[in-house]
Amino acid sequence: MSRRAHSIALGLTLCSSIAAVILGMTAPARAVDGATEINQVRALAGGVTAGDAPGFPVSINASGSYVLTSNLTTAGTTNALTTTAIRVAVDAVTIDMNGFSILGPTVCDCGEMQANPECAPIGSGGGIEVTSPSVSRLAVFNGQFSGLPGNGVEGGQNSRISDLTTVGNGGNGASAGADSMVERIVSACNGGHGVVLTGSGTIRAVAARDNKLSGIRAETTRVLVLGSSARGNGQDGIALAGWSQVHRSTALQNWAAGISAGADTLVKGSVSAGNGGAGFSASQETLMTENVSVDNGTHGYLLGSGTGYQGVIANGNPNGTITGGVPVALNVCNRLPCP
Amino acid sequence: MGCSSDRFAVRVALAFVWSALACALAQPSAASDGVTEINQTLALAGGVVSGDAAGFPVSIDEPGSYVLTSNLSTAALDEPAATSAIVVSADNVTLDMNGFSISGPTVCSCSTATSCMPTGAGGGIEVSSLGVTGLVVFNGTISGMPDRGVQAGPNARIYELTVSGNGNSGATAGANSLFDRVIASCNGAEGVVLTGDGTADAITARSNKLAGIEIGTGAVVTSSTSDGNGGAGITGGAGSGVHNSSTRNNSGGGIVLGPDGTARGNSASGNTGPGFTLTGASLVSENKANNNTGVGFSLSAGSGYEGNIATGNSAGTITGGVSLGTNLCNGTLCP
Repeated sequence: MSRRAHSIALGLTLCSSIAAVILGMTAPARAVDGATEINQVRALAGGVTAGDAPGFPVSINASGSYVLTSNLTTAGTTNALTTTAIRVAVDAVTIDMNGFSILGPTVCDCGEMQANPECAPIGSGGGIEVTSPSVSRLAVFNGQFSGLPGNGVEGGQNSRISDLTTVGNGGNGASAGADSMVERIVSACNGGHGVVLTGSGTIRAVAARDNKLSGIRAETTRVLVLGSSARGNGQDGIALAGWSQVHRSTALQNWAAGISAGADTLVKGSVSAGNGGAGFSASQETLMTENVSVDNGTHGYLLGSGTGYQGVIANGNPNGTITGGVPVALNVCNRLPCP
Repeated sequence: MGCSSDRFAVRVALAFVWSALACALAQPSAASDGVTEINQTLALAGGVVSGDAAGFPVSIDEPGSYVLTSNLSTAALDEPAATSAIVVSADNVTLDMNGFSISGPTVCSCSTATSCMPTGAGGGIEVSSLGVTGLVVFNGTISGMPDRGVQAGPNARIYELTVSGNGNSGATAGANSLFDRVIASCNGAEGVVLTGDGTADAITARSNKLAGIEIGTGAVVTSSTSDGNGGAGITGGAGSGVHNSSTRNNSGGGIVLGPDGTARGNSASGNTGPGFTLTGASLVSENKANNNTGVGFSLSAGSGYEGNIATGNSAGTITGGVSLGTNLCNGTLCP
């Protein structure tokens, strides 16, 4: 190579490198605060953590703090229906979505009060998920999930899922395992449940609307649902298993029961109106106290054996006000005092 | 010959460097973490996102994450009353105000008869249409805007904000939205408005011209205070709930709920009008109403009540409703 050509080549190399840095094409692996960056470019390039192959999913194999620095989208990738954006294989991972979104190719037909949104295409590809339910201490916050063929976000045990919007995904909006906290979530028009806890934990300040299945669902025992609303969902508004509680929540215009509870639950201070099934349904040995059940499709309260109720209101439910259970104190049935 | 070759190489290199710099400058300004910056300089220059014209409003038409890196002010514009600071036309936009403020030209005199001048169409952060979904706004202050401080569509999350002295409501969001840790004071209409279902938690609403907190059908308010507003302290639509909250010295009553709601664990004192007004088949339990100019509890025929305290209310203790248990009326046990 001549000296001239060599000089030109060196200049081009130097300038290309400078241009690449300036344009952010080779963004640093770590954000200023030491968290590991995840963005679309790095996802496709691979190497976010050791063992992370190019393309999706981004495989997180090291505990630590991660931050999104761009939206992620799996739309357009090969096998997009079965491709998850981020898979977490280790404990103690925190992902700050930094206000960004994880997006997929799915579109859900979400009209006003569209309680059975049709989502297509659907598949197993989610937004953020753990590789097994035993993966613990995942924290995900400050972002949005939309259009994933599967679940928006799925944590294992001891998860913290907070400050998220999850809309129009083919599976559940958000789910977490045992001893987890799910709070400040907007979940709408998903093809599964709005928010699911598959183990014990707390669900607080959730707005779940127009999901194809239940708005809020607890699949096992010992779940607290606090200060939440569930409207226009395709199954129950709020569905609890046993040994759980619902407080200060509302369930309106859901296609099945407003609030359904398993055995040994406590439901207090909640409103259930205009649902397709019972306003409140509970199996045995539950306490229903200070709730309102109005204009539901069947019963105001449908209660199992050994269930006590007090201070409840039932009005305009065509199959009866309060069926089953034992009155502990006075109630109001169609505007008159009752057991 | 050797020197001319080196000079040529240097010129080529410089040409590429300048080209790269020019290209970089044409891109939206990104903070080090990839989030798109918005500040006063960028707003006036335009190009925050492609299609954003120079000047206000900053037009956000791409989903993503945005952060303020300075205060924004519309006060000095040619038509500040009609100009919004940020207009969002895309779904799924997150805006971290990063502790900064958005301010406008409006000044409000702050009392139960709050008045603001000038008013107009210029808001702080608003959606271009009420169908824009998934707006998230947090961590800042919006004041002095001629219209609303924040106006969001459905599925919004509005939290850690102070909205004060705006010409219309402080913050408004559509169905299935969440408000959390918001201070709304001295606005020219309501403090916080949730037009549909959703939740409002830890809201402080004070001295707004109309209701302090207004929620829609099926919404829930928890752990909030609403004082000195020109309308009711808290109003709610059908099937709504208000829990563990306090309303004081409001001009339109304390807590006013539409049919079939529930009010538990709240206090209403010194309000003009009833402490609590509930219609339909509602439940009122474990609340306290004292020294309101109306009745303590004004309930419709189908409502139930128990465990409440009504003291010193000018027009009576409890009217209407069905007593479900013992209450306390002016120090004496009552239905």
